[in-house]
Amino acid sequence: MSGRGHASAGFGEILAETRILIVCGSGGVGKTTVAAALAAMAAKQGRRVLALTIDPARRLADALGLARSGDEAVPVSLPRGSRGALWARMLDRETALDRLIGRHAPSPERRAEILHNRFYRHVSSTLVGAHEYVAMEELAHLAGQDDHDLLVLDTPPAARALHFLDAPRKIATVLEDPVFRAAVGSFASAGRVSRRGLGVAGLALRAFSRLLGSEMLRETLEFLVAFQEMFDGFKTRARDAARLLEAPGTGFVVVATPHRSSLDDAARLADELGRRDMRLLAAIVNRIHPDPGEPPGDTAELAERLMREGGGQFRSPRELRRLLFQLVENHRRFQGLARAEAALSGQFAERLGRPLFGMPRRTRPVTDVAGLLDLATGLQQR
Amino acid sequence: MSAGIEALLAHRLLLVTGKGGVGRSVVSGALALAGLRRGKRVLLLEVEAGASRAEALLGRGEVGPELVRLEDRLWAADMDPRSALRQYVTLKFRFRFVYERGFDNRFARAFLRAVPGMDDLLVLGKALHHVRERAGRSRAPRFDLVVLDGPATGHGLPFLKLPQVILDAVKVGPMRKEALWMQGLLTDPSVTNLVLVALPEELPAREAIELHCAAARELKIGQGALVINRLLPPPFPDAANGLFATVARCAGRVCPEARGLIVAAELAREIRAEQSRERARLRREIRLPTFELPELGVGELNRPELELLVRHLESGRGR
Repeated sequence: MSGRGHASAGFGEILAETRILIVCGSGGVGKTTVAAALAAMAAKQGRRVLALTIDPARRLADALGLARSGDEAVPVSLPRGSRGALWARMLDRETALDRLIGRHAPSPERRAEILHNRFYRHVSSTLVGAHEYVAMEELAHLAGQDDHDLLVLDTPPAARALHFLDAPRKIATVLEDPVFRAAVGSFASAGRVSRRGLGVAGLALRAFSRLLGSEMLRETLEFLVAFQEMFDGFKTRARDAARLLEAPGTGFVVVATPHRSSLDDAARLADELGRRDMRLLAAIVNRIHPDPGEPPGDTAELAERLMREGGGQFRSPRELRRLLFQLVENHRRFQGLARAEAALSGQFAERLGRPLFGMPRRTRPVTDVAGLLDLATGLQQR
Repeated sequence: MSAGIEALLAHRLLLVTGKGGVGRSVVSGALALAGLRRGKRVLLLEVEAGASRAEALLGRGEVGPELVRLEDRLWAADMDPRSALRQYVTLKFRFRFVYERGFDNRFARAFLRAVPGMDDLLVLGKALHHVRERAGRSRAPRFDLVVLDGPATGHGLPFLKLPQVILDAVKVGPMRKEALWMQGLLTDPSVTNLVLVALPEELPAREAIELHCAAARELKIGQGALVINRLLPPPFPDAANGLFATVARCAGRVCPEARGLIVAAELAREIRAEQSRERARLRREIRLPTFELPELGVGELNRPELELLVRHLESGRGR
């Protein structure tokens, strides 16, 4: 392992040119905690940081002083001697989409119409990509303001970690499709599903009407008509968000655990970022075990020595030998674990071509900002 | 073989849920193999977007969106919405060209993306279709056991709630008919059981408990088992605690080369303490038949290791 033992200043430098930091990785790798730790570290080092998080675990929300409800940025107090400032904000998934509609709706009537659309009400929680889109939009919105010099976003726990990258472009593509607009438009003017003159869209509408039933097709189209007036607003914002992701001040950090499947996910994610010209700053492997080194070879000799020089504290050589044997077994287990993790992380780092940092496994939860800063300090380049 | 796992495997559909990284795929694979060992015809379904984990776990060839027969009685697929739609439409309207003309065009794809929940519904529908699928002259169920390695929580609940959402929103028409039979299968406790997978660590345990409560509140699906994954064995029996303390005290003076032994043992005890605490919390808050699986390292597990986990499931009494 080369270059070991760099302090977390290394990571501070990595973040120096970054205005927006997006922390991504598959579910369950500790993304939210890592994002909060990096935000706290940057704030301590003098930056004005806003940490944006989605559905954090209760304990972490408490650590950041976030209430479970509400959607305001709250100031987080840092230890004395910190030069910057930290705010934290939780994007509430329940209300975020409603707020988005509120922001884009051309009139209060339209807004009410959409919010009360039976279809919207029932499905807004399952809207494909909606939460990802909301997070991206919110980010673009905040980036346009000058209140902070670093925004840290931990990405939504999507089933597929990349959904959030596509969300802005995907929405724009759908909304811009001329055939799609024509179909929705004809419905809007006629108030019913007319398939004439729509060519392939007419065929598709007939197919969908058989598949979904006319009621559901109608509801869906009504929903889309209500949305149509907001298309342009959406489109512009989606474009802004997509551009923002590729902007020079935007950087990504990929988080993984040192398991094969998690590292594979992270490597795929890194490839995708590269393909989209998005800037990967570094990777963090979370929950690594320390390497205890080589265990002593001869337990019998060790037991003898302890019996001889232990000042009479050991009575049974058999019990002592058994314990030492068990300790060696345990030692080997951790050595094996640490080495396997190091080997996997090494392959990952090679494939990545970016700095790789390790974060040790904790057995106690992080309960406050000091704990978050401890974590950030524990970051070691590998 | 014990009643614990037998009761679980008596169900035709096992929905394996849990937060990302807890070992859903491994537990799904182990349940599938356990079914296989009992002579069942087993189908293992994933939603991995082309990165099937079952391939490596089962070690029997490639797994893609189409059902593939890996062994005499073992099938698998890594489902994706587009091929699920094609399969569904072809099945429904009998003619492939209906799909090709109606659904395989730019408009249909854009529309599909715009219909909320459609992707998930197609995937869930495909899984449930195979649960009730019948084959052969006897019209017997094609599969005795379908294991669905579901999406991570967060996504998992809305996914399983979809038929209910549609039943609430749509009062007539073919969608309602589809949602009705789907919901019927999901909520029949003799057919379907949820299997919760959890890690004995602070955050994952909390999330598993939240999932358990939310599922009880919002889904009408029977919960069949809790699997606590990745338990580390104690470094030595509790009876040796005193002896260990003495060794730890003397080691520095008598045998400095044994320091690593002490450090590793203390790390193991710390992890073990957290695991015991969280395991107790999980068992207290989630009153389900519970199975425990050992930590097996960080590499991708292979078939023999998976078989080992099957034996752990079988020797567990579910409590």
